[in-house]
Amino acid sequence: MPSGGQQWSWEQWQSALSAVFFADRDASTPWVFFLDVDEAARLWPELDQPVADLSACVGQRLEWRFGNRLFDSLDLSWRRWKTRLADQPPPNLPVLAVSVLAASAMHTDELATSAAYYLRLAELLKPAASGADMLRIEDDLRDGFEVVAGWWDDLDRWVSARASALGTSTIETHETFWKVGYPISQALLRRSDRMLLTHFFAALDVKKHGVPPVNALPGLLSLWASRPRGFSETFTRALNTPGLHHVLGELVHRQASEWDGLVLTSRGRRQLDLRIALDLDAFTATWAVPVVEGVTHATLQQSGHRTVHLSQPAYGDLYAAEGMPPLAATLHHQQGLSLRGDGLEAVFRDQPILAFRGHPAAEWLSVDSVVPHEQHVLAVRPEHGAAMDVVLQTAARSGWRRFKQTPDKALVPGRVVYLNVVLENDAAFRNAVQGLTPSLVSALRPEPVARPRLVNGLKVAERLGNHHYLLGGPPDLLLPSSDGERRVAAALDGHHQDPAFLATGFAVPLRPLGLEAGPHRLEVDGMVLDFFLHGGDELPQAESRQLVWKLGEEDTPPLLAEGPIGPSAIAGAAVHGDTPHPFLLRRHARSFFISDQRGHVTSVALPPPTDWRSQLDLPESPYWEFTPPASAVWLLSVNQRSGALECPALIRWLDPHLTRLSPDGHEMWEQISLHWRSSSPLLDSYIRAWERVRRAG
Amino acid sequence: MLGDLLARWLSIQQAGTIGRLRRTHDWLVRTENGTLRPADSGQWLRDMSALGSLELDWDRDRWSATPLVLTRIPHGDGLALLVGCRGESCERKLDGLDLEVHRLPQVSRPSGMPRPTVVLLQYDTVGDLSEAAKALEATYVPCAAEQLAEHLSRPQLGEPAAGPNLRNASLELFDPFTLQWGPPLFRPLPHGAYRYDYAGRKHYLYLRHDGWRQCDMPSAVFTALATVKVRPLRWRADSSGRDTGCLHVDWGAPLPVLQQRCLVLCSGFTPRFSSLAKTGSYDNIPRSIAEAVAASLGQTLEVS
Repeated sequence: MPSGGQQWSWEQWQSALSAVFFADRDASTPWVFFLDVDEAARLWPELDQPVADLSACVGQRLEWRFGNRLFDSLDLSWRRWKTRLADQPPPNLPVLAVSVLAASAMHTDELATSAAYYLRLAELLKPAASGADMLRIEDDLRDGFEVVAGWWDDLDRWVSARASALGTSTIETHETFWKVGYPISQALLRRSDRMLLTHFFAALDVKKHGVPPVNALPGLLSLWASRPRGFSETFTRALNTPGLHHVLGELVHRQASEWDGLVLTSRGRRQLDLRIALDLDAFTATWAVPVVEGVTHATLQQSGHRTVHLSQPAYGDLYAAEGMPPLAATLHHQQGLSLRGDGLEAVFRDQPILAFRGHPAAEWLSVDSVVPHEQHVLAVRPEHGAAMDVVLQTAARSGWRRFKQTPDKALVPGRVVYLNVVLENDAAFRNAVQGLTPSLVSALRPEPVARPRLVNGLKVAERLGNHHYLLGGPPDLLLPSSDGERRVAAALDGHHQDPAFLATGFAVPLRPLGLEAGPHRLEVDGMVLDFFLHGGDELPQAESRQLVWKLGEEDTPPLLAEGPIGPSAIAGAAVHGDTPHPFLLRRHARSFFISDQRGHVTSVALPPPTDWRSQLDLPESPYWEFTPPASAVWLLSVNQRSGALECPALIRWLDPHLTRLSPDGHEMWEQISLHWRSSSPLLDSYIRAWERVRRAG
Repeated sequence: MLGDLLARWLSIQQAGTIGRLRRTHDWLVRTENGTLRPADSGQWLRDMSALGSLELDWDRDRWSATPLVLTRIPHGDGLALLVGCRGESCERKLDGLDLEVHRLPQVSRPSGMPRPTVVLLQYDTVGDLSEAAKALEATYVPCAAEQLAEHLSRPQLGEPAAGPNLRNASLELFDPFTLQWGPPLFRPLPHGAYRYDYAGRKHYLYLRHDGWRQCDMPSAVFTALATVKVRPLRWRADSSGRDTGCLHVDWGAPLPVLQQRCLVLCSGFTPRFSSLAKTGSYDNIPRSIAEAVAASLGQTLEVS
């Protein structure tokens, strides 16, 4: 029977806790024994002060007169239960519950140490105690708590053995504060927080990049959670309590290490994203749901009065959807949308600014936030239109414009639509958003990364790893940021950066630092980022399929396709075929002549360089390009200084048909005969022909 | 130089997606606080294609680098052009050549990334060129411009297509007389070349007596130009009397890739744009090549 002002007896509390945490569990979600003041009020609204009632009930049950053996009498019943290994939930649930309540109250301490835990526990169990009395109670609790820690350990095994009915146990401890670690593991992370942390793990991309170190996690999580993520107040407060960071880091680290890759909603359902697709060509705005791996069909309900069917299409990455609610009505209510069923939850979070980026299947698809330097369409609630105009005038690339919509046929109902929006100037952005409402700034500000990341850069040798870059093209550093500005101390190759980097959501370029070839190490936010700059010499060309222009027959236009270069396939300047090479004649100290098949010799005039060549800032060419006429057979060159005739060069062979020659012609052939007879059989045949002409007179 | 750096990266990567390359272009320009317009990356890519350094498949979002080619410049008086994206080793081998190597800045643009440096070699004999090509691990092509001129063909309309969405506010009709695009004023739509925006890109269609046809911009424009007597290509002989000169092409008449490349390979330089005359001017174009290009587009070359 309850005594004094107490409302519920030990048995009633045992029964109530058993019903909440062990009966009718959804085994697809982890088992968590979470309890705090708010949760207790929600669970037991019939009680005025459930936490005080429960604590008083436990306080009366403990054997305070036995000092640090105060839990011993309860331990007897626990051992009986453990020996039987019964399917019944364990006894002493009220004690375990109060131990969690004490942990959930720790965040009120500036430095949440284990001492703080026992103080909170003592305050719950003996609220009237003070001074030396309180110190003694704390000591007794600390010394005796090993018994309770043992119960938690037993409970973990018992729940784990029944994971198929109860869900995976989340009971863990902490290597330093191992006794109080058990209740803390239940108090800091309520079930919904554990679910929502899957979004953080996805943002960290832990499957690809691994889990950040324990000491870096709370800071990264705290920055990521600086935007509304839906975490509980307890968890958010714990995140802001430095003394709890180590405990929290370990809890989150363990959960991240065991994460199966599924992103869940706070209700533990697998999350689907409800997006809006804009087609400016067809002038439509429709719902769109991106496909998630392993979900081919789904039937979802909207508050029980609408059924939506999703099915994976043969092509593309958006589900075919039937039965979706009207988009205009959803946007009008400004409350977002949630559709549930089949262990899934499709979520649309309405925001004052909806951003859209290009998508291969939908022309424009709504996204969570803007990305700097990428093109967006923005749909803004009309009351923010004027502010948006100012921000875009200041911080967006020129070329954005308001899209004209008629109210009766609006593309996005109830929104002002902006096209060609590219945010590109972080300093201007910071200035432009000053004075705007935080929700508006948050919606406009780039989504912060969950961990420091190297982005952009001239990546090479991607088979060697993810962080190899060409010299001259090192990456940018993207830092986790909050909605305020954050200076981040960092060290590059052991040298601290001065001034510290400014984390704004825009990338910090490393290229201006003029880094040299070789390995580099960046230490920032408790993380180490290694990258390598290659000079380029040692890098092999990547193998690839060549694009070529395949030439068609006659008038068929060339077709671009993959394939080898060949007689009918052109790539760049690699064009098969041949063209006769013109003669390169010396521009100075030579006179040139040509002879045709009749032996007639004509002088070749020296042309000036082309206008283009003259305009180039190049030294004068010692040559000029000569394309002989089709009748020319021999090219003759005379050294202007010595007057010597050089060996005639054959231009193209034509049989000699020498006829009457001018005196100059005779003179030239006489010189040829004199100096170059027997130098070539072809020339000799012309010399013989000339001799016949000369003899004939 | 930024353009050379990006070209060096392309020589290593060899192929990739156009989207990523455009983002890389923009990123590099931003790292030097350069002026950047949305169209700059696309123009840089088109220039690289005209220079013979890249092949671009816009429909499939793919680019691939082309092989290095050493080729003679027509009327160059012993100048050869090195075509293609040059890697670090190529730059070093160039320094080791016995030939005189000239590195000249490419025609500049008001914004975006500079185009890679033009590399010209002064040679003495054809033998020098083939030897140099071997040393550079490049292909020797006697005269790419002249050889390409033999393979040019007329742009043609594609397969039958559905008509454009008449509610699309970006729908425009090409006026072959003014060479400008503007909203169609009449319904039903008259025959001609049309374009509209979709997914951030321009799309082109041609309407003729048998319905709508798919096409790209050059085939749309030159099919429309074939219906009128407008001459957007004009060749002016230079003062040397060597049958070479400058080809002026009106802004509104964009040349197909191979025609443009054929002209650019005559000098190694992209056209100079005149906002006053609204033309692009290609230098050092032999009349024979200018005529081949005009004929391949169904145009009569205006000569003066």
